Amino acid sequence: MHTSSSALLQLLRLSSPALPVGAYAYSQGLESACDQGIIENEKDLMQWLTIVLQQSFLYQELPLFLRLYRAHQTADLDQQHYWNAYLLASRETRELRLEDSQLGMALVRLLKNQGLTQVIAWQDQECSFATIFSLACVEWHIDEQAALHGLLWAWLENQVSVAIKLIPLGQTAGQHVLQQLIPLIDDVITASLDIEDDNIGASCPGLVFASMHHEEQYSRLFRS
Amino acid sequence: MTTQSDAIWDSSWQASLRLKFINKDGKTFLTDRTHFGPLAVQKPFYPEQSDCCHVVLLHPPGGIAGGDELRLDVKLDAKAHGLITTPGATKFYRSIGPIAKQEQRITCAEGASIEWLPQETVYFDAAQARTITRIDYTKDSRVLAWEIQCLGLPAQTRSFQSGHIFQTLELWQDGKPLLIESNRYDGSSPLLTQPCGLHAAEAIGSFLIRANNETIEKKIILDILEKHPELRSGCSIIQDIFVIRASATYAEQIKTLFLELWQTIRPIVLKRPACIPRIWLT
Repeated sequence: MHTSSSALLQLLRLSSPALPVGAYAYSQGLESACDQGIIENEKDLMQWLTIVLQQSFLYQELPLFLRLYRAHQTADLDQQHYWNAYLLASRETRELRLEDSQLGMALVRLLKNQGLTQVIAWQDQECSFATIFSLACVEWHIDEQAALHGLLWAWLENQVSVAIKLIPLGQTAGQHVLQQLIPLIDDVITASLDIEDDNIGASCPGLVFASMHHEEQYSRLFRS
Repeated sequence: MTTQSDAIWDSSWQASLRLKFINKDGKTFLTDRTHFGPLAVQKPFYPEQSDCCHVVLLHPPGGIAGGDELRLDVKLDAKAHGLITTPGATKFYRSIGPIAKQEQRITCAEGASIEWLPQETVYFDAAQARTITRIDYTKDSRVLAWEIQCLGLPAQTRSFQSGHIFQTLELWQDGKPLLIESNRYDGSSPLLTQPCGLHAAEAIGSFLIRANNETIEKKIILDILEKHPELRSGCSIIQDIFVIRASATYAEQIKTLFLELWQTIRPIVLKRPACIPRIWLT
């Protein structure tokens, strides 16, 4: 399948930090990792994001996204609900799960408002952001590999912009991090296509501890 | 001539054990303990009230080698209460290639309670292992479950430098996944040393608690965690599941912490004091 230029533009819109779903309000553990001095500079940030890409994205986020995408493509409701539940169950803290379901709900509202009626089926249940993102990608004829790139990029760009505020880092340093991670992104997406069902799942223990601490952090810029 | 590695390859076996707990007139009985191969249980114990049945899993070979497959299937009927533990650490030995598999499935019927409290699992350097633990329950079951992994043998400076571990601890309710924790440890991965990963800790554990209607204050748990600054730890409440994670240099530190948590939480969730299995003291 080929992504047409209008499909590509829809993907850019979905992946943009300007997409009004509130992703900017969440740090996914970065705020407490910075607060505790675990992430203090560009190099620390690179290492942190590299681990998340090599673990969570390769073995969990991308393979699950792919299954959701294909379940929408084949209109397989059982598979859509199964993998949606599986992805939500893989959120390892209350904060991470809340973020995912709030972003999912916000995207449902936005797309419903724009006339994408297929999202209405999801409006009264807890759904992952990836569940709705993949639904939109299928509806707008964005091919699956392009869709994987969009999902990953939206996350990465948000993490870097969060880190720019927290560490703090300059905008140029932020762009440097993004640029350096591009070759890894390609490897991770390619490898994620081969992950089988019984091999899905990966945890980043440090991120989980950071997110747990963030729930208790006394003063916070980012939501919990 | 048979080399040592051939011997490991040839002696791979399969083992399985099926347990069933039922509640009759307020007492829990172990009515099925069918086993195949070297995986078994001792006679059940009743060190406290007769409604709670303690069971010790035995695996006489002492360790699990590449290619071995162990299966455990536990069923708890309505209102049955089982406590399952092990006499010592479960060990996964180094493998020349084949993966060792351990699959454990626990199913709780309405009103059943399971305490899944195995001692730590030690993965030797170059182990190839896959450990899946899945607990299924219904709306009014109670679950207290912990698992502790130890990478390599830190006491002997034999760290985990190669090999691959995939380990999950899963809670499902009425056939739907509620909480899935999956860990994968590659000996060569920076995950083992980086702060986003294990940060050089060699032991890591999770303790999951699912009460029925009993209220647990998160502060009680956080207060206990704070008393142990030598561990990296945290707690979160996802839906109605308490998730406690800890990592440390030694599995023993995590066991000490989890034991303290269990002693505090058991009286709240199961309305009885902690009754330490004697096998832990030997």
